[in-house]
Amino acid sequence: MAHASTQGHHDAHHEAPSGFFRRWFMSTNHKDIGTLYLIFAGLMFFIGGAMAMVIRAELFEPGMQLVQPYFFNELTTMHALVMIFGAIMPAFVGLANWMIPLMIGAPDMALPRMNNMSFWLLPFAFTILLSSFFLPGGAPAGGWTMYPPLSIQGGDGIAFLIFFVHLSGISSIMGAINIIATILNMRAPGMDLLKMPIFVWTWLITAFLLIAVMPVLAGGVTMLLTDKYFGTSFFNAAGGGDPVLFQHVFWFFGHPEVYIMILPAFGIISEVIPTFSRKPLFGYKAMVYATASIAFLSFIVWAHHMFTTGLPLGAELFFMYATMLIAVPTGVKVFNWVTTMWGGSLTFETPMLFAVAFVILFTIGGFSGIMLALVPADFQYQDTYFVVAHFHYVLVTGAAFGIMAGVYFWLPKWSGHMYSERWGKIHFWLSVISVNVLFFPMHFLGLAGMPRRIPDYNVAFADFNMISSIGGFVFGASQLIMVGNIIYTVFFAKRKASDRVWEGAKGLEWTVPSPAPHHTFSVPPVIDDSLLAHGDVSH
Amino acid sequence: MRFGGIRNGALALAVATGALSAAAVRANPRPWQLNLPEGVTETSHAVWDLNMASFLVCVGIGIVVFGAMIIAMFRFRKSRGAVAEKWSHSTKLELVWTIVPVLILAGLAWPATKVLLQNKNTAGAQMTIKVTGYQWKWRYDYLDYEGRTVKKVGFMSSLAFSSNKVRQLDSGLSPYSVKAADGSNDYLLNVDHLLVVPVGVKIRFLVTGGDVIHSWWVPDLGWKMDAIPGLVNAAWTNISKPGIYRGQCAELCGQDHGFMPIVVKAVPKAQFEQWLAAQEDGARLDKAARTAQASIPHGPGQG
Amino acid sequence: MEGQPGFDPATRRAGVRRTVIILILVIAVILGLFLSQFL
Repeated sequence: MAHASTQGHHDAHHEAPSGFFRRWFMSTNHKDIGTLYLIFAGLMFFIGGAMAMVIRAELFEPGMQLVQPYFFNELTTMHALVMIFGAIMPAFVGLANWMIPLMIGAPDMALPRMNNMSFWLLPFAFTILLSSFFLPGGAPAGGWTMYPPLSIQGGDGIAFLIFFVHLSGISSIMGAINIIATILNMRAPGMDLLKMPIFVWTWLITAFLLIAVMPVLAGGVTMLLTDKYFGTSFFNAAGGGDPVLFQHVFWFFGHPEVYIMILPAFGIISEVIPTFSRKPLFGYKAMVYATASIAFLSFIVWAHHMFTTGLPLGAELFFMYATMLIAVPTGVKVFNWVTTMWGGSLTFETPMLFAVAFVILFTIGGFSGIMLALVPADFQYQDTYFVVAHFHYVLVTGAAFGIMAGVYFWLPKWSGHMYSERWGKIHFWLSVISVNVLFFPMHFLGLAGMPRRIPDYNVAFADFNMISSIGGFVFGASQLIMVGNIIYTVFFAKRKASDRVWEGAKGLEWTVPSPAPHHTFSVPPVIDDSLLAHGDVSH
Repeated sequence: MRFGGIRNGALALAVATGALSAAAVRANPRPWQLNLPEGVTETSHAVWDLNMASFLVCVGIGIVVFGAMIIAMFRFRKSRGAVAEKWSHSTKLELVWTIVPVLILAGLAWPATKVLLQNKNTAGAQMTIKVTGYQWKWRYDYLDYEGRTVKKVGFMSSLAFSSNKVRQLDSGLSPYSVKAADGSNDYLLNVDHLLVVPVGVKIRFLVTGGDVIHSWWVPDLGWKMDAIPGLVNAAWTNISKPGIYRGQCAELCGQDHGFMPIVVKAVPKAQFEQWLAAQEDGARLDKAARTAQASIPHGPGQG
Repeated sequence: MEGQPGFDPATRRAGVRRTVIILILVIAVILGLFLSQFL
């Protein structure tokens, strides 16, 4: 505590670099790079969201009113790619960049220049991807899952997509190397692994997942490229290959990918709930083991995305059992969050509202996941709106709400000002209600027989589609409130944030001033266990 | 094949709930439909049961977990004067809520395994139909029936013209106007040539793709099977009730993925055999006519 | 996992170098195993 203020004195000598270009294009500062990632992710969220608005507008009524079917397929493909690779993943990397060094008492990431390159690859990659809309053959339209032979048909959009995957994959891999190297080597003395904040643990594990699977995706899409342009037949039956091989390779990446997109959110929730419960996270060690179990299991369930392809019986049984098994450590985490709240002293500021909504709604997404795991039932659910409902619950009310909780939670630390709690709550309530109006009816649509990735449908599906679209428009518009709140907080707010910001906040990150100085922990802090959220080693 | 005896009380509730949404067996999706159709095969019924069982398990877990959260959010508010406890771990609790879910999931995995084994077993099929997915239509070929090869009965099945003209962008026509013979709306669910099959016969389907991956799905039969170029997938069905059953392609296959539906017409066995014979005759006559055509000199310069 | 973190810049640099080399080797092995299937 006394140490923290001495620290601030040392660090104030090192100001941010002069010159806009130098500071923002040649940064080696984890805070600025974190900010860059977050602004980029926010922008991509609105671009992907705009595509979703067009999709929901076309699906508002039966009949084709707005777009041609091929363009609709371009939209659904690009919406997913932008949201997954442009919004969710970079947002989590941005939060990692900002918070991990602060949480472990490190001065910056292990490889600050590589950190910058990891970021700047992304605008470049997305310019390539988004420019494919203007190609003669249009943007890729075979789904973000790129199954051949379909994905190789059509124009050269797929080549742009493949190049994009390579660039953003390299960005992710370099980011993951940086995170692991930072966490394993740059912790301050006394910051043992089992005293680290859970957010750091979840990112450590996520980084290993990224390193394991991004190269596999790169290999798979390169095989697509050579099949299309260089005469190979990896996935072409006529040439001796197998289209299903691509699905195995893709989903070997794809399943861990969805855990890459949720584990950091689990970490954020594990920071927010104890803070606003004024009570330590229940079962810290169990939470770490559960996260590691989820990560390990995520490697052996990939074929549950392929149950209808005609897998052998033994494979279907194995993947069914393994998939159901993942629900166990995930459930353990949910139970631990609830038990953290039980017996606490709760207040419901905006971050806590998003965290509570996360626990409830992500769990609902998990429920549809359990239903999907049952192979014979999946034969009815696969490729229907039931699946669309499932993954939007876990990714929007899960990952995206987790990001929003994190942003509201840490924004005062970043900016030095309190955001508007009133508008934060308005944003929350509008979002949580509209997101359910948007996605819940999709469960019914899928069960009733509506396939996914279709631009038009029978009139029996009209009512729930209209409701869903209305929910979508309100949800999309509501996100502007958050943008407004952030701009207000950073540039116009008057109310200063204290160092600790939140009464129940514990951890090294809350010992530095708000806003956090450009350089923090240039000298490793002396750690007092009572400062930490998990300083008590007995658990 | 019902996996009877499991959670009878829950099943009764399930039946009651299901009754709200699937009272009579209907072939078309209905407005405001909330649930899977019970369908017209043993498989579709078994799958429906499994769906209800897993759904109710999830509802049960949800009530416990969300209930605890909601109680906590009221009882332990700081504004109510709650003071936070200090405890933060319990190995016993972690063991309980690891083991109990495993048992619950095993309880679901057991019937799911049984239904899957049934579903995979194409042995004893009495007829075989080959289904080929194309961009953007299906082809059906009858291969054999009751032990004998069927000669040349095969046809393409595409979206019916009545739907196709309405679905064009800016057609100005209303999807609500596309009606089947019985007055129900079959927009995007009608075809020019139906797949006719007999009731009460175990039918094996061999499903493959002609260009890209498609997927053949009729919800009332209870399953879907991917149509993949270069491989042949096998599935089976045994339809218990005559009727018209509609489905759609269930794997993104290009621009008209949403416009290549499936319509199966199940008729009594005798009626099917008459239809099949007529198709075979038609095929024979067709071939004879074409052979005759080929031997007629066509005009100057040919012969 | 990777041994005790050092707290002076030189030890940290050595540790980071070691971590990065190991991770790049891991990636090389994964990619190599994968690509070798197609030779």
